Amino acid sequence: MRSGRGILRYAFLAIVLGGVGVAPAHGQSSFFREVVLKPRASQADGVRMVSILLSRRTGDLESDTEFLKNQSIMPRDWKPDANAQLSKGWASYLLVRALGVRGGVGARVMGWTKRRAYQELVNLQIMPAKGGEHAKLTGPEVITLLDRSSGYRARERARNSTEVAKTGGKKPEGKSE
Amino acid sequence: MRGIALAVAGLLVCSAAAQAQQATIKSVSGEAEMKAAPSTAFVAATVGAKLKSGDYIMTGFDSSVVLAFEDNSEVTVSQLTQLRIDEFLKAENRAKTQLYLRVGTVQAKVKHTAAVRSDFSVVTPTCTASVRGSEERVSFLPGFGTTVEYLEGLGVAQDARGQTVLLRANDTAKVSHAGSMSTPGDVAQSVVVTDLSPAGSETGERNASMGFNRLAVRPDSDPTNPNSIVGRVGSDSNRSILIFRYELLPSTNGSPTTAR
Repeated sequence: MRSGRGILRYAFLAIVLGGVGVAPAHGQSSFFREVVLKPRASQADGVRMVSILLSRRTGDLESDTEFLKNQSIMPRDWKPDANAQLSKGWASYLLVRALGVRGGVGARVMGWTKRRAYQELVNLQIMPAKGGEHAKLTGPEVITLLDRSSGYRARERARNSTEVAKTGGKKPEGKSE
Repeated sequence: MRGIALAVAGLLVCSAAAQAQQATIKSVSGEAEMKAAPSTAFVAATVGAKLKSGDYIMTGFDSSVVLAFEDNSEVTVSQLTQLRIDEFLKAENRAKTQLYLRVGTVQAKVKHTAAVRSDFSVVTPTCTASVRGSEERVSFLPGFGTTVEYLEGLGVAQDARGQTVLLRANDTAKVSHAGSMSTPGDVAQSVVVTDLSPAGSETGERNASMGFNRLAVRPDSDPTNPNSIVGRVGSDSNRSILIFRYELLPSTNGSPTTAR
């Protein structure tokens, strides 16, 4: 027979869980609900956005960061801060690598910088052009980036598969995906 | 006491005339949540669930929801969208639906029938897009503003500054984040300075519409005449500034009569 204390513990848990509501703990849904209300997005939001783009639906800052570093998307020496504001350059850098964007001559020869990544995403109409790479992103703009990035990826995949079909099953040269 | 009784009777008549309707979730793909108006909690959206005025629907990444309205309109809510049903009323032969698109993309297919005329609009922070028996896609992405695409039929888009354009199939209007519109469409609503009789005068409205915009209008006997004064900006002893709203009718050669 359960002790009175044990029953109380279960009763407390039931009240807490009941208070949370019937909504299931959707990792990405709660992220979207909260981020759309933020006047300034954080680096943690940027990390979550790129993780969602790469089909990682749930996760916290630590595990998402590790995931992105293992995927060679985030440099090893970056330390995302949940309290730091998300700049356009910071988000762009992660996105160009996540999307496999090849970029222009500068990016190919010297590699990606935040500035170069920002300019490339503005050219691809994924990033709003207002401000520079140091400008801060709002929460709703994070949703914009995710939407536009997935649209870009879908277009690229369709284009590549068309080209593969044209070349008789061989992957066209110079394609990142 | 008699006044109160009359007021109550009036309210009953009004509520009978314009009834709040519900939309039904027809299909869900991926993750979607909804929030019923008085509640603050989101719950998982399921097929068959009902939405009324004030309710929210939200879709996650790679997800979508199809909403079916009682006037046979259908709205597809794309991924990463947050949408609120602002108004959904049905009164006699008219159904009025207004959706507020906070962020994301929706595609609306509106069907007019002889029995019910649909007044369907999607409002974003920078634009209002009305559908008139046609199909449109509206997206609002912060940083890029609103894009309105008409896939079929005719529609009207109005930016935050009041500029209104008429859009035909395959036309696209873009309203920047600042609220200015760029589009190939024609002006379909005008601010008119005139010395007409007061608002509500059918003859005055019609004369003004014809005089200023050379529009074809429906005959007096047509009860579905949509031409009306929708706003009175100001007036003095001699002049009134009126905003007219009208529907374009097909001309004799089949193409729609334009506003100019």
